[in-house]
Amino acid sequence: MSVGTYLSGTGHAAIVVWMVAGWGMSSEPLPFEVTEVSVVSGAEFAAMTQGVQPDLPPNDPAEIEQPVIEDTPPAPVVEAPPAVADAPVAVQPPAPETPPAAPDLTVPETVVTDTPPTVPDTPTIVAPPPSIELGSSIPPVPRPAPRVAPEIVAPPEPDATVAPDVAQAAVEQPDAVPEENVDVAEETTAPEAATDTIITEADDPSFAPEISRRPATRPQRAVVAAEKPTEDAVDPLAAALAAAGAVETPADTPTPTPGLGGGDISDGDKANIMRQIGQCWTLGAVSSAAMRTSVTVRFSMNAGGVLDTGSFEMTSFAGGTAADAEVIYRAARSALVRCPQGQSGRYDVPAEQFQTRRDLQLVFDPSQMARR
Amino acid sequence: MIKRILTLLTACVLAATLASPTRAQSELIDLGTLTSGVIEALPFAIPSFQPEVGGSEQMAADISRVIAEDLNGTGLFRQIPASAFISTPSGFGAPVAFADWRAINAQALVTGAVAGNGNQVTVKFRLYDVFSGAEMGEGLQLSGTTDAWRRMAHQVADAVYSRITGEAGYFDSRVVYVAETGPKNDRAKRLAIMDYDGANIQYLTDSSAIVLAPRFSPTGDRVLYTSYESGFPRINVLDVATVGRQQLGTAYGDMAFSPRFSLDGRQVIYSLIQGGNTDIFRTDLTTGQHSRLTNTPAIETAPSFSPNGNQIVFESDRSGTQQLYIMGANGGEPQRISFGNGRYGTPVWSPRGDLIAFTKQESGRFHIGVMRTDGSEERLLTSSFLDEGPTWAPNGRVIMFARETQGADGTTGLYSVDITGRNLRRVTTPQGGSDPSWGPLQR
Repeated sequence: MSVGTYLSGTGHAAIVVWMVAGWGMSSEPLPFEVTEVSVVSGAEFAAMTQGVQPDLPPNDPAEIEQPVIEDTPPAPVVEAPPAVADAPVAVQPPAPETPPAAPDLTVPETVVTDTPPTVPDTPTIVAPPPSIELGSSIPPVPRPAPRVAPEIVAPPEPDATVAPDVAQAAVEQPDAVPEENVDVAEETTAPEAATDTIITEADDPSFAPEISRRPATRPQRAVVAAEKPTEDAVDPLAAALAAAGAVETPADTPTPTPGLGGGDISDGDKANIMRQIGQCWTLGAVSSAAMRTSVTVRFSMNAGGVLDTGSFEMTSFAGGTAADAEVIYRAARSALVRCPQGQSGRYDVPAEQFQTRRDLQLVFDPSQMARR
Repeated sequence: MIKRILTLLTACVLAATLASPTRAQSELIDLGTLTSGVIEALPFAIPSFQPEVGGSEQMAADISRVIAEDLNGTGLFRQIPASAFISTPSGFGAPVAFADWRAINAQALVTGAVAGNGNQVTVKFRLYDVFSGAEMGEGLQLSGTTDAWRRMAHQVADAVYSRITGEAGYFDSRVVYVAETGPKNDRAKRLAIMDYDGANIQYLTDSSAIVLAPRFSPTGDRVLYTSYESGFPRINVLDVATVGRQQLGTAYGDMAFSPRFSLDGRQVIYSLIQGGNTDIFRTDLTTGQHSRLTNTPAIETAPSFSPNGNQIVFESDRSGTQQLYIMGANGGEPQRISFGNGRYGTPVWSPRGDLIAFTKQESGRFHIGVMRTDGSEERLLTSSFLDEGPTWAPNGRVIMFARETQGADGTTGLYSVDITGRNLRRVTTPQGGSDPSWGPLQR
């Protein structure tokens, strides 16, 4: 450490010690004069100055209920009355003070001169540069006062319509390279949410068809027995395709009528059938263990969507015991039987696909409804 | 040659690909998975049982009524009134006109007959799935004394409940509780035992001493309870059949309370105050040995065994607030399972082992709730001025608890609620009641 540091430290320490000790400074409180004052109201002050007794409260105030004293208190010791001070001498009201002289309110004469004052040059208003700071405002520009022309003039012709874009006249340029149309992606912002709740599609199931219905199957082609070709003329691809066609229409199965029945149904029709069944699938009296069990049920519908009540079969189950699966299977059977619409006893199914008996499979899975 | 073989293989694969889906589509329509049904009570019909012997008409009607009340009381079933019946069975074994029952949307049909012979009575019944037109299970016949007609009705209801829902019933069971009479500041308490529905009440003690927290043994033949006969809380064991009682020899301490049997009935766990500190102890009823299971400065009480006997859930304020913990059956470091707001107490392990019922106090309200054994999926089932002391039905589907109303003239009563939070019902008792303990199915 340098000598300066030591000197500075010593000096500061001395100053601190001196301030703490207070050598040379008097700690005695400065003498001050105490004047007793009393507070009087405006009415009292006016009475004092005019010699009128102010309004006093009535001499007969309401009696104060004295508390009931059960025991007679001991007689108080009578003390000698204090010496009565001399009656105050009436003070002569002070003479009213002379009000101060009113200030001179005379208006000085205005000196009017014929010569107009010199008007400085009007400053040129320069538009401020655009501010990048938010919140700063551009000073307002005074709007020019309306003026009346001394002479009537004809109204101006309407302005010519100006095209928003300047289009140049097309000039045939055989050597010019045609410009490619480049799609420029516009910057878009997400639309404002209509509500403060996000509803996903999963939460809001829809039974609307997700895809369009598939067209009806084409009538099957009649299998034509091909002539046995010579070995050199055999086309393996054609032979395999012919075999596939033969599989499509086996001889031992009935061939669907061309244009009637058969074919898969659309997802919308499937959802419609499931909706009908689900409305009847009562799970109120099902054990919690069974509610975690899913069963796969196969059943059949005759033409027109008439349920074959003898066709039920539980092909598999998962998530619980056989007893739990039997409970869900019973509830599923009951739902399937009770669900056909109205007195017709038919399901609402696409007529085109149900013109013949169809086999269906449905998995009944109540696990998502457990403990709701 | 190789080129020809490759071409043939490719053609075969292509042909199989084209052929298989076409054949599958033409045979089976896979509708997918149905995940949404309807949660509503199952409508059932129970025509009055047939009196097969003269003089049994009243008993047949009473048994039918109790069965219907049992099923209706669960909230899972809805009885179709007799006025809606199109036809009634002509006899117990007569063919059932399912179309008539389908027409009134009865999904289940219970038919039965009663035959009284002196002091003996025989009850038989059949259960039908109306829409499938088949019988659910086989017919069942019960015999007993006329005094036990309610038990036979409960057993029929248990069988019906079990066959339809797939889980065991709970109607043929009893509840021990503290019957309360008198004003709040001078309330007389005594032990009482009753059927689960409030019938057949019998008092086990008089009201000379305060009694608290009765707990059934797993077999239902004994009851543990806390008594203030000596001025301090002590644990007594009461034999239900003889109503004889004796004090349980616990570890040395100032006060012992909150007892509960182990699954085999050979051990008792309880809270004991030693030197102002409350810990959990266990006493072996066969050997008389005592063991300390917790040892902390906190207040630890309300222990309850898991159904397999390997764990104990209890309440403790070791964290600063009253929370639920699980430890091994022999003690050890417990694991906290409740982390919600408020205070948790009186945990009881479900007979199924999957849930723990508890009392929760939060924001000036009391709740009965359930949670998984790891503390997840907490659900509050009730809310009132004071709900406490849950106890499980033998099948783990229903919880009974005590509710007290607000005010100086507040009353106590017993209520039951399904674990889904539905079907809150008051159990009919002649006086007030608290501290219920649901016993096992009777044998």
